[in-house]
Amino acid sequence: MRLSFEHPRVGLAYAGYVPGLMSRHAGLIDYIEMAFERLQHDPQAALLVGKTPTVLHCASLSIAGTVSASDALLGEVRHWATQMATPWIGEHLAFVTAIGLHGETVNVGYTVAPPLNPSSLERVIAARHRYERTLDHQIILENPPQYFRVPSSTMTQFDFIRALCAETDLELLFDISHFLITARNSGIDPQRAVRKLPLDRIREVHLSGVRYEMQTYWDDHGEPAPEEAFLVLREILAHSRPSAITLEYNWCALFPEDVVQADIQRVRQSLAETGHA
Amino acid sequence: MSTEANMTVMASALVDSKLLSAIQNPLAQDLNPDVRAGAEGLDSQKLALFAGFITMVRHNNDLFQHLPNTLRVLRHYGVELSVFRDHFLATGRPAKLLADKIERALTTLRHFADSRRATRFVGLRDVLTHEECHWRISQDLANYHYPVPPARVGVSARAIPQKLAPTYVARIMRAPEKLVAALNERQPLRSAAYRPHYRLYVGDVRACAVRTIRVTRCACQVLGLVDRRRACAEILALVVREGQRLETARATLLALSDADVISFHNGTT
Repeated sequence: MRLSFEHPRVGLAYAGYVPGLMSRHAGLIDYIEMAFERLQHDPQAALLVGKTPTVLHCASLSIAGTVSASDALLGEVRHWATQMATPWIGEHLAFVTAIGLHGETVNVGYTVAPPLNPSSLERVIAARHRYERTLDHQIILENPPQYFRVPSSTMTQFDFIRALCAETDLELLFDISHFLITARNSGIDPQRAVRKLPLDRIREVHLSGVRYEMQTYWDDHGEPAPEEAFLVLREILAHSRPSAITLEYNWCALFPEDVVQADIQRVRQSLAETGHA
Repeated sequence: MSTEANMTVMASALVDSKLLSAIQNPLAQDLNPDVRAGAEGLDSQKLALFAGFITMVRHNNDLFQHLPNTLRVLRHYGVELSVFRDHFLATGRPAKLLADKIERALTTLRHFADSRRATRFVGLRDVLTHEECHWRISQDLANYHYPVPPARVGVSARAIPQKLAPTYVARIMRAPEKLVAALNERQPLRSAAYRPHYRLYVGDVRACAVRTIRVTRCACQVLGLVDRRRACAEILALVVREGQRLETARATLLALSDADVISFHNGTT
């Protein structure tokens, strides 16, 4: 089921409660963002493909990593991308696999922010082109949450993204919560930093919760987006025209539906007030 | 140091709890030189917390289903990540089977709740105990067949009491329901009154549910002796030896029977 993204759309990342919410509130959201990894083990999620407008999200390509994605994995991603007629594939600017200490492939099973330096930049640019050709879909890259400085880094994540956009025509999946986490953990003022980013390249926006524990800010899809995230969203909408805004409230099957509905309305209101509706 | 070496060490430590422990210890002499070089400049304490974060996310759905309020209490006190870091360091990657995953998590959580550090986290033990009892009974109900007991007989010295369903007894200091209400209202957990009591968790075989009954210490002692072999007389004698009055112990046996926790049978069946 194909959806036009000519006007900005509002969607929800898939979680167990989402189909029920959609059936009780028709028109509440425009699309579901579906994680490739979820499709591999959740038949209920797979059933929605083709019946509901869906955007494919992926955390398995390890685009900043040193181990290439296997043909089998790429085949599966391509299969789902085609099935759901996704307008693009959102992937993390991160690595999931690496060469282990004994030459084996280690799969962390979770995206890890990479070292930020020219060699990573080259690797990401090459991998993105290679995977776009193989998958026959546009790949947009998502800024990862930076919890600590990664050794070998010679630039900040924001400089890295700027360089990536300067050297290529890459579009971004801008995760506002990851951005806030990275800025706070790096001692950077997010309100000033956001204006220096290539906001015109943002194709999709993610919103989710942020938590503070053990002197560090962490990603939290079990909590609603903080007030500051909505301020950044307005800043983005004032300078760019994203095609999609996705609320990622998908870590808790019991996420309060009234909060989901209120935040979706808030996003739609922000779109209307900034002339995007 | 090369980008590749850093990624190798980070990825390896995030899946290998022993390696992560080793690089957390700057004095470790037996570190492989490649590991030592790849870990140079790495904030290993933060990496360990990140491992805890990944572990927490992997447990989220399952633990939120079975131990939701225990997680909320940990979060309330700002110790969720450090507990999951310790869980990763102790156990490595999560088990594949749900029951194993929960059992391993319960071991870590119980260990933490019983630690000296956790004494200041009011309510943690009570909420954990409450949810653990619910989990154990749901597992017992799912995994064991409780046969229809033989014909009941009246209470007598020779009658053998038998449990009608899985039971667990817990010592509770603050009512878990009150602690959860305090969490919901964002009140300090100390606002739940300190009222120590014994609580009996009983599985309902037909409804596949759990009911709770406030019980006396004597009831705990009696239930601890109900084993399908001891007769009432022996149980009463043992309970009296532990300091209870005979009349109290006898009334307790009858009360447990009235509450459908136990029934009496003759020894020949």
